[in-house]
This record gives sequence, structure tokens and C-alpha cells, in this order.
Amino acid sequence: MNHVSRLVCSVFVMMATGCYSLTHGVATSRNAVYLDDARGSVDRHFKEEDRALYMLFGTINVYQPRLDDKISQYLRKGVKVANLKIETACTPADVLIGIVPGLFGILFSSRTVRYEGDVMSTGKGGTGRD
Amino acid sequence: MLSAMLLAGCYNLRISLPEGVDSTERFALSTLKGSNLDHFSETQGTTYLFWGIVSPAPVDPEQVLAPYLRGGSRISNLTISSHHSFTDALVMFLTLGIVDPLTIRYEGDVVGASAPRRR
Repeated sequence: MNHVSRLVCSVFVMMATGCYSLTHGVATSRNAVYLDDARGSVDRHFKEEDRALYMLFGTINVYQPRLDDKISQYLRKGVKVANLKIETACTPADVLIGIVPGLFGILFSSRTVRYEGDVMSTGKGGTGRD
Repeated sequence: MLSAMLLAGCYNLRISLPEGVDSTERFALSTLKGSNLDHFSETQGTTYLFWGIVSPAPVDPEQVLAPYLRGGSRISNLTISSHHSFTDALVMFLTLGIVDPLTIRYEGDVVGASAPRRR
């Protein structure tokens, strides 16, 4: 296989697999998590950050941030999360993470994922789940 | 260009409901109680320009999901994923990354306000 064929095959694999994919969901939390407002009083505002790691132009997911894990520290009985905002960015740190391994031929990249929202009290002492 | 990218941070994507939206407990990523009316999978496109230096406006899920919120129904088990589809990657490849479309997929259940059931 010549170089051109290899390049075309590589590009096709990238296109077929879909690169830099990222999924946000709540799989395990017993508390309610809303994108919009919720009934109750705001206990605290939170901002959490994590980094998604990829190889080969995003075709291989090395690590995906989990929303459940990032907000679990705020969740106890009687609270819920509201006004959740999700932001993905390629920060200067991510650029450097890509450049340094790239010098050694390792195609590694990252994206910073930020979760921001309010922890609200339901005032009922329940799980906070609707 | 590199310094601009380093300073500004590229490929920004913000997913949130717009400020001032009048909605309470209708867009849930967790499981809501209620009769399951429908399952949906919707996509929304957004586009980066010039290798991510020009980022798109914040993605508003309400634009896509509003039709499911009729008659007091709510959205439950919402998952939001972003990826480059085949078409997105093709456009990105042909324009050498100057135009970089991204697909946002929303998947979840529509639950009614009445007749609660255990899941």
C-alpha cells in the first residue's frame, strides 16, 4: 500500500468513526439534575473541571469525564442540581498537552470540560429526585 | 495565530439554556417520575471557523427539545453528546479545517406530568 492509499484510508477511518466525541449524562445519580431552574433554595454554586483525553485526532477516546463523578461530592439527601451548564474548550493547557507528545510522534490531544450549576435544597429531606 | 489560539482557547462549546428562560424542572438529565410518553433522538448542528478560533454561539437545547414540552410534559434521562459525523468530517477535510461542523445529539424520554409510575 503506497503512502497516498494509507493517507486516504486514515482519513476515511477518521471520518467513519467520528472524532472528539463527548457524552454528558447522569447514569447513577439518585438526585435530580436539571438543565433549567428548579424549585427550592440555592445552597451553593459549583464549578467543576475535567479533561477528556483522545488519541489519533480524537478517533480513540482515552478518557471521558463523567458528570456523575464530578457532581457526586455535592449530592446528598434532599438536594438537586439545577441550571447546569456544560462547556467544552481547548485551553492553552490542552494545546500544550497536544504539542509535547506530538514532538515524540504520539498523536495525543485533550479537551477541557467544565460543569457549572447550582446545588438546591428541596426542603423535603428526601433524595432530591423527582 | 498560534499565540491567539493559546491566549483565547479554541474549540469552545457551551451547552446551556439561555439566560432568562422561563422553565422549571423540565429538562432533566436524571430520571423523572411520570408516564413515559415518548423516546426521542434529535440532532443539532453547530460550526467552528478557522480551526476553532471562531467558536459558535452557545448551543441552546430548548430550540430542539421545545416540541416535546407540550401539555406539561417533561424531559427525562437526557444525554447530550457531541461528535463529528461523517459529513462534518468531510466538510472539515475539504476545507482544511477552516469550516468545522459539529453535531450535537440529544437523546431522552418524554414523561407526562400525570399518572406517575415506578421505573
